[in-house]
Amino acid sequence: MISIQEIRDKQNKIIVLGNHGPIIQSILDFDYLSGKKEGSVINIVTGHRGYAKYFFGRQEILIPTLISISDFGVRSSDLNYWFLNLLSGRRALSSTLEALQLRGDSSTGDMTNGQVGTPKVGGVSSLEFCGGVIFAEGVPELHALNIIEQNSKLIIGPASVGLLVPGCLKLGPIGGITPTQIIEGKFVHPGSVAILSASGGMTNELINIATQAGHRLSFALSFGGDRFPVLSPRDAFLLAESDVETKTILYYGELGGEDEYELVKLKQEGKFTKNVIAHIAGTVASLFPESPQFGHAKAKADKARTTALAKHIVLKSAGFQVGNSFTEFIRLINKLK
Amino acid sequence: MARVKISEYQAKKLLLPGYLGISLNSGNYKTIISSLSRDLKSTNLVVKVDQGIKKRGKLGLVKVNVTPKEILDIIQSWIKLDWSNFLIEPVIEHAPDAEHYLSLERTRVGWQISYSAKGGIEVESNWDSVTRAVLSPKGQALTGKAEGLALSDFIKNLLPLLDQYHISFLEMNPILIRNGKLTPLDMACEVDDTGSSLVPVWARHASPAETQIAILDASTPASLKFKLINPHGRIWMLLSGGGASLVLADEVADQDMGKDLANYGEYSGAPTDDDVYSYAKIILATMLHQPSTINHRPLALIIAGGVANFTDVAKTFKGLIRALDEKQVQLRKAKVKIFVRRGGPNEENGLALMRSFLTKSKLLGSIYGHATPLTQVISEVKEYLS
Repeated sequence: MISIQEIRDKQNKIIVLGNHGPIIQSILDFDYLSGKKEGSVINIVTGHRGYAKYFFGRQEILIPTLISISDFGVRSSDLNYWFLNLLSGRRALSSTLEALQLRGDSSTGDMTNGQVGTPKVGGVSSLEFCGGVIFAEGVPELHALNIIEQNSKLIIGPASVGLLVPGCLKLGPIGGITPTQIIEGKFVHPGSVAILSASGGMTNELINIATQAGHRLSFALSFGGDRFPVLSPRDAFLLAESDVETKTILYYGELGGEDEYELVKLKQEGKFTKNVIAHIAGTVASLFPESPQFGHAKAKADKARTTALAKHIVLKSAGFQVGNSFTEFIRLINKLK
Repeated sequence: MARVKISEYQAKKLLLPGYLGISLNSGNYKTIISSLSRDLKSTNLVVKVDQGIKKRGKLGLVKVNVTPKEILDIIQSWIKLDWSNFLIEPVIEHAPDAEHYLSLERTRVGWQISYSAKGGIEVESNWDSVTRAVLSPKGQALTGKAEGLALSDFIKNLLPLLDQYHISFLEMNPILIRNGKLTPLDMACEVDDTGSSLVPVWARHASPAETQIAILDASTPASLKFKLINPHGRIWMLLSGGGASLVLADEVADQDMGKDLANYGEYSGAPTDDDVYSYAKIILATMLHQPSTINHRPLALIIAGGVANFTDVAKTFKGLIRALDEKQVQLRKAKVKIFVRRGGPNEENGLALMRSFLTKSKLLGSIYGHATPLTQVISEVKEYLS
């Protein structure tokens, strides 16, 4: 799986599945404000061949649209390629597998000419996505498990607002879609705080809290609130552990699921060593006779060990910093040097 | 968007070939009982409440060995307690020690299977007798003690059905094991409703507002959720975002106002202003109808959310303002103050519209943007209500 540093070291290019104007424009705005010479979105898969109009700074640009992702052309091994899947939950499985299969046939070499058996030539190789983001909510559990089974890449989601590496990559609506949000979030300047969150909205809220406290981000991602995120919270912590720029992790989790026990295990096995400030939401569930289903698919405590309080306690006793309330969580972040 | 319970009747119809049970509700039970087939009439029957609740046995919501005549009386008494969906099926005679416990849950690594030889209504006090194993999706044992699970044929036949119907959790307690044959007596079942358009999902015991919002939710790609916690509560919430809504509801409880929390809910995923209007309208109507408005103590309405990634604050606020505007006289009369905190695309615009409306209509509690901590409004609500 690609590391965060490798995302910083190379240029990143994005193929978007589905034409969602404001999200795509926000990626181009991020690129422009980061001082890149050109936008990172190189193709949009819309179902027909043509062009889509966008702006890069004040300049109007045309981004080629494709019938299918397998029509994708230009590629160079000097670049990182990503997909951003903005299609609906029902189409997420087939479209993601199609994107993954593009790597499959390395013997075909450069797939632009479709010649089977052409060996790889230096600098030009068959496309292999480093990974991607699945934006849709409502992806069936079975479909997510199917993707997990076939994947070894950095695939984030379903139900993810994306991945943000300041100055380098904005893969999704993460951080906001208006230029004001991108400027205020200081996404152009890298820092040392990583944000990992089960919720898209709370990712942005944590970015907001961190930047107001004077911090800059090393990277931020939302693994999503589904029961089986392709990039599990455990994987996300390992990404942060291996990233030299990251010193502290702000973690937002929710009731439901046993992921936090995995995090504790990582810590106990010495595989995770960095400073973490965490919050587990969902203590309100105790007001109900039986845990209700909250907004996200995983946000339901079926057992005592998956309640917010149980996970809070287990994280705390493993040495993570955990606030007793969200207000205290903010206080811990404000105290961070 | 998540795991939902289906009725025991539906689960058994899907999973047990030749299942003989019959589903009844408070509207049709008389007709159905009077026209029972001769086979069912002449046997002893079981009748149970079939609304996805736990511990039915202990709550007295299962009656065994009853006649159709007795069933009429039992169902009538349950209807008085507000139950509405029932199930009758033939009794299967058995020795008490034939009752076992078996459950299957879909996890990231495969099916987690839990089994105990001591099933029945006391299973929770025998929880340490439960053995577990994990089976790969195709039925090979990965970990755990498999010897308590000399059940593999039954499970192997079951697994494809569970995938077919997107079933994520199935509990059979008790389940009879006799001469190698497994017969589930009671079933509890959860389906992943994102994948289960084929599965007729049972409508749960919901308040009218919950039902209306569930219908609204199904009609839009955005997400609209609502749960009534306490109709007497004085804190009503119109929140946005799955995560922020949870954090805000937690904060109400953390500040010792849990008993005053009337509802939980959230809108997210870039709803249109019409979606938000309809959503708010239902919540406002519920709030103004509830006993909380009768004793003339002040109420708080919290309109809050995190800093949105892509939901347009001005657009969604326009929908909210439309709904609030229609009820502004009643809201003033019920001494409602509105507390707002929201950030995201078009924030300034949205907050300005809301501020001007709330000031003009004299409903303003306080209003903040992204620069103020998410949970601060809750402290102000506390001050207002005390």
